[in-house]
Amino acid sequence: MPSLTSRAEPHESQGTDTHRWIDLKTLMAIQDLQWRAKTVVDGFQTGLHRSPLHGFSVEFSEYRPFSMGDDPRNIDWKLYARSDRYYIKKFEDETNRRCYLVVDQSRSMNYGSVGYSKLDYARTLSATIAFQLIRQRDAVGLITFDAVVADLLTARYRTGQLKRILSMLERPTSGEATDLVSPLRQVSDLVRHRSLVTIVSDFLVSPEELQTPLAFLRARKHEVVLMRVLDPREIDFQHPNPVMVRDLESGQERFVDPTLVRESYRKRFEEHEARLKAIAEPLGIAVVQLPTDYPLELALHEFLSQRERGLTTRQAVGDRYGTGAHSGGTPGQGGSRG
Amino acid sequence: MNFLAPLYALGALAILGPIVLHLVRKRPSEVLDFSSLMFLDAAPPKLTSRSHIEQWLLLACRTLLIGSIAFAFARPYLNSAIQHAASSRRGVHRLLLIDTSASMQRPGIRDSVGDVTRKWIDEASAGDTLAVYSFSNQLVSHLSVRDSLNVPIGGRSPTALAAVEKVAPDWGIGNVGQALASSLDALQIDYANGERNEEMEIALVTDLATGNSLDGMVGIEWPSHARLRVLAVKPTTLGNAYATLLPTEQDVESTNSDREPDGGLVRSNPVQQGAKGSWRVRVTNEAGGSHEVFTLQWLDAKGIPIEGSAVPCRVPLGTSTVVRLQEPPSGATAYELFGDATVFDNRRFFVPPAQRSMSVACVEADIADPENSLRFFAEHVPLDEETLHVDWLHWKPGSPGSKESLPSPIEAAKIPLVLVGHELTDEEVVALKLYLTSGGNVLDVWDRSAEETDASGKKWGLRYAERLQAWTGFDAATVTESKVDQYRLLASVDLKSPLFAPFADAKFNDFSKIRFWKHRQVSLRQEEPWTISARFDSGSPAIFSTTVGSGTLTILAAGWQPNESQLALSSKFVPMLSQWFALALPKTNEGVVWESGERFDDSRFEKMLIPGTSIARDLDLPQAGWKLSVPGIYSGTLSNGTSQSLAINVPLAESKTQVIDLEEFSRLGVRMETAAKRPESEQVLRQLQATELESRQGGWWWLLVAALAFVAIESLLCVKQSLIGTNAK
Repeated sequence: MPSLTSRAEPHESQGTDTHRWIDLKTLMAIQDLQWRAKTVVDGFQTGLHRSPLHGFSVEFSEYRPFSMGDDPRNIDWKLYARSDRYYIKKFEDETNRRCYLVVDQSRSMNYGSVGYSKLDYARTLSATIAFQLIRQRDAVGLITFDAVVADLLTARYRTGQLKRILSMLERPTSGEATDLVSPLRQVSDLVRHRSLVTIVSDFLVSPEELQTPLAFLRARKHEVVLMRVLDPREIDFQHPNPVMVRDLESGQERFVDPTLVRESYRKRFEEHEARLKAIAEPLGIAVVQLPTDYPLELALHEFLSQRERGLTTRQAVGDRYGTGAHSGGTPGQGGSRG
Repeated sequence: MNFLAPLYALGALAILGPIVLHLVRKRPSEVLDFSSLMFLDAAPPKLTSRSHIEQWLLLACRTLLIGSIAFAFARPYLNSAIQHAASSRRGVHRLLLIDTSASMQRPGIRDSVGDVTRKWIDEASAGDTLAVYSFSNQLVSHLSVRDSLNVPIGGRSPTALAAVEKVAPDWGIGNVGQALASSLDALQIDYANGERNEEMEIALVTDLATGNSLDGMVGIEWPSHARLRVLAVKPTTLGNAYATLLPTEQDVESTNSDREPDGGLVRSNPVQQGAKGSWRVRVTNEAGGSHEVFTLQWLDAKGIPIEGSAVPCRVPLGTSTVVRLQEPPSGATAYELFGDATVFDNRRFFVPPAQRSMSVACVEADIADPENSLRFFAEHVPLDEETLHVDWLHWKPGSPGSKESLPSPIEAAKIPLVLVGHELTDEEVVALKLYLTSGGNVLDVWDRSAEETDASGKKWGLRYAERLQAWTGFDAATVTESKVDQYRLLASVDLKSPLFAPFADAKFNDFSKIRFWKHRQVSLRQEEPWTISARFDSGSPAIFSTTVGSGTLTILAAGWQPNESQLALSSKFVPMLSQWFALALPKTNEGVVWESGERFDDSRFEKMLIPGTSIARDLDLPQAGWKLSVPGIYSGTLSNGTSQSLAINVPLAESKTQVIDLEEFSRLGVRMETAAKRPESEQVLRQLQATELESRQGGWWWLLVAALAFVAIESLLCVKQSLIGTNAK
């Protein structure tokens, strides 16, 4: 997909041969969302041997000699039996991370020119991430919104959480206009514990409006990832003939000759993207742009890698917002898994 | 090719619509649902260049379709046939009848006449004949029907226009009825050789003033193929006020007795009768005007108002008021009503009456008992009038050379009447014969019994018969004394005779109290030359007269003295003798008010000075007389060298300017032209012919058929394009 090259830079080294990935049209034809997510995650796990990233599971990190003050429960008694020395066994972060998937279900998400809509893609992506995180024993919650928050599922790690998430994602939506400001404020009110807030949306709003709510989220020490789902035609506005374009949200119609407006569309779109990044990046928020024809495995990979990067950059950003000491890269609270 | 409704052809401009629509890039029917318009600018449809018109055939069909419909509505036709139809059309005989009466002198009317006549002439077809007549008192031909026929087609309108230019209003009285009747005669006589039922039109140009008389149309049968079109003209000033001199109360009584020999009224002469004392003037202000305050004032001979003679008066609209004027000052020849906007009739002329002196002679011998003389009663009869002084002369028969003898010759102009008693010498009979011949009037009273004898022993009856024969030349009559038992009465009084006309009223015609104790019985051999005004109840003529030369001889077959009859003592005597004198007075036009437009036929005048000019016209009067055309004071010279003035005024009827109801014409049987019957002008006729031709040719029908065909072709093309588009998708 040549059109994705500029936006898929992080995994350019992996190649863009879509034949290696699951066919999205076929995947979207699967009605069961859990099955879709499982297919993607399984495929993703299968392909890890080609991945430069290693180890996402809870695993042994290091031994260190026992010293005064250490909790005797952490002594590796088997090693003591073999070596007659007290060693403390240290593991990677075993604690459940909380991740909230914030999914935009506004009308603009219903657009799709590749056989399925952006919302389908976003749901599948959200289900995939949830599947993966729950498999990692992380607590996953779900918030859906359009103009306001529609549904809320608190992040937990428990039996049946995935089913609840999937059923909530599969729930049909009424869909209204996109308003990210109000839902994000609500999210910051609802999510009190520090969490990974993954916003899946097309972000077709004025970027400047997002600055305050995103900063608010970051001030609450949330880790934020913006997964921007776009239809390929939204990126380049490729249409052969003059057409009457109707806004899915407002119903407003406008006659457009693509040959005349294509360049200006692209220019404005890129400007919008740049403004969004210009607002997000200083806040330590990653913006992942995901065309709907982009393989979901790679999208999951983008999510995970952005999460990892977010952990590494959180220190600097946390310093800026006065949270660096608290959200520092302590083993127990994050850090790289790679 | 022409069009009945060419404006509809402008509808063909609608073909620009399809052309523009074909040039405009079609608005896409496809609607693309898109997530957001925030990055999209509107790009409206734009005109492509001409070379980008893709559906040439479709565009041609559509433009032809619109063009066909537009031209169908414009109703096209070929005009060659119309010209042929116009050239073969028969003309209408048109006669323009222009009112030139005095009321047409009002301001603004002449311009209006010019406008309506020009319009009427313009409406005429080339084949129409155009005659131009005018009328006031009489019909005047300016371009007769026959002359119009001789003018070649195409030149008739200019000729008629030139004739109309010469028509100007005069000061006569409008006689519409007579003019219409004469116009009909002119039309019918001149077309007697043609078809009788040819279409005729009389266009009457008039102000329709009520002064116009329609009496001339009474009894005229209006032809069915002729119609009247009234082209009414209006003055710029509405309403009219006018002043008329009224007779005094005394005059009113005397007017009843002023009858001409033919029974008609003597021309009213209020000037003469109002000469003394105050003058009564009726000021009438017709409705529709704007002035109510007027001033009456005397004018001198130059038309300058005489100071101190102004009398103001206020006359509300639609009413009249009698105003008393002081006796006209010396030099006054007219009075004028000031304050009226319509001035054509405000000045009225009069001739101040001159004092005259006349004499009445009585030829009678002295009688011992004066009461039994003719003179005794006759001289007591007041014959004087306001402007006439009458002297009595007494001539004695048989006294030649004396002062009291009959003069020779006797001037009939100064002595209009001579009373003759029974006694006359033969010389005196001859002198009176000459007097009679020169215009004198003799009243011969046989006041002595026919059986008595004169000094020569000749019976008076014979003497009466002899002088009767001497004066008249008729066969000798037989005069005898009638045998009267007690008295005789007058019977068979001819109240139509001039003598007894004043007694025609039943209140005055009782003659039974006049008893004749004796009278002469006359047997006339020839009664035809005699006019017997009264007979005795015995059947014998009592009063009979005949003309002798220019004079009149009247015989009274009895005396009026009391020994003869009670005539002198009766109330009838004074009016009878006054009437004898009045009939004997020479006719004079002095003081008589004439109306302009009348015919003047007094042969005594030799020259006449037309007012306002220094032209003294020799009056070689034709049989119809000479027309008094302009109001004013005419100075005439009589054949005896004396001069006499005539006052000519605007006809009083012309002052009545209220408008006649056109229904009056219809009541008289005139076929008025209505809007439906109005003959179409050339343009309208052409339009009608064009309509007929167009409906016959039916070009619009074929154009509509073509339009339907284009609709079908266009539909097929559209279906084809649609199918191609569907297949392409």
